[in-house]
Amino acid sequence: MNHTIYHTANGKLIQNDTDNCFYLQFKGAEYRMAVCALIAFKNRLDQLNIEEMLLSDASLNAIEIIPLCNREHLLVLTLDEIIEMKDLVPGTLVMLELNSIVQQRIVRAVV
Amino acid sequence: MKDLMRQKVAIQDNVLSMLNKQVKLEAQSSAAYLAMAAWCDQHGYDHSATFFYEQSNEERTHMLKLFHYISDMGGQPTVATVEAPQSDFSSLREVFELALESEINVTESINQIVAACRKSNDFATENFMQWFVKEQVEEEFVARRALEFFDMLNDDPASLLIIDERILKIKYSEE
Repeated sequence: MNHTIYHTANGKLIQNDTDNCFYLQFKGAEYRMAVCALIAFKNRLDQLNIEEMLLSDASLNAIEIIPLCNREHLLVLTLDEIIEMKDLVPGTLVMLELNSIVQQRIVRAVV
Repeated sequence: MKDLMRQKVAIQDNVLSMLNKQVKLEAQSSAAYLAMAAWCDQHGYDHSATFFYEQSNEERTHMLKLFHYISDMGGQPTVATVEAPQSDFSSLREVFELALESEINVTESINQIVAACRKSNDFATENFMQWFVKEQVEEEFVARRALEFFDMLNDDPASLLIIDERILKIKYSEE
């Protein structure tokens, strides 16, 4: 079963309960990610300094190549796309944390 | 909906990122102590050099302890880039002052992690971090006691040799 966790204008992150993994849909492409791959992807995004990239002389053509954890895909992102990803992925993690809180309060601790 | 994230990862994202920052801090400390050891070696402070080599090893052990914990909890430990540490010092006293400063910095960082663990009810990580809290008491004590030697004795060459000889004998005991 698929659950849309978070979406932005061009992207969507979906959790699939059957596969136990996430699907990142971005601009028509779809990338399968295990939990560890999603965390690794977020770590890579966290390391990108938008402010630095914007102030850099080469900012107009700035692209970043981010290999996904399993090396099946390489994401080539422009500055705009990085900004959108920096909304999509952390947004997803906030929603997942909310889901954890709901599970903890309703499903697990039935006392 | 399954709680997939919780099934695979035992620690919250913010704590995970703080632990990874601590990995970097420990790696940085290890490099800084190595530079201090080299300086002491070059200036004939043999015991202090041994002391800082041991400290450098210890910091690396701390880094690995954190690294394994992050990995065991389902997180992704990151191998941090370590900046070149200060390698030239004006005196042995300055070396120990910087060592104490570094230990205080590490202690404060550890305290912040413990505070974050309490805020998010992460008692397992808090328990794990308590080992570091205790370790820092010892680390700060040793650096502080070494600096007390400089206050007690003058900075003349004879005194410096006496201080150097006493460095390895500093031990922290709770009793």
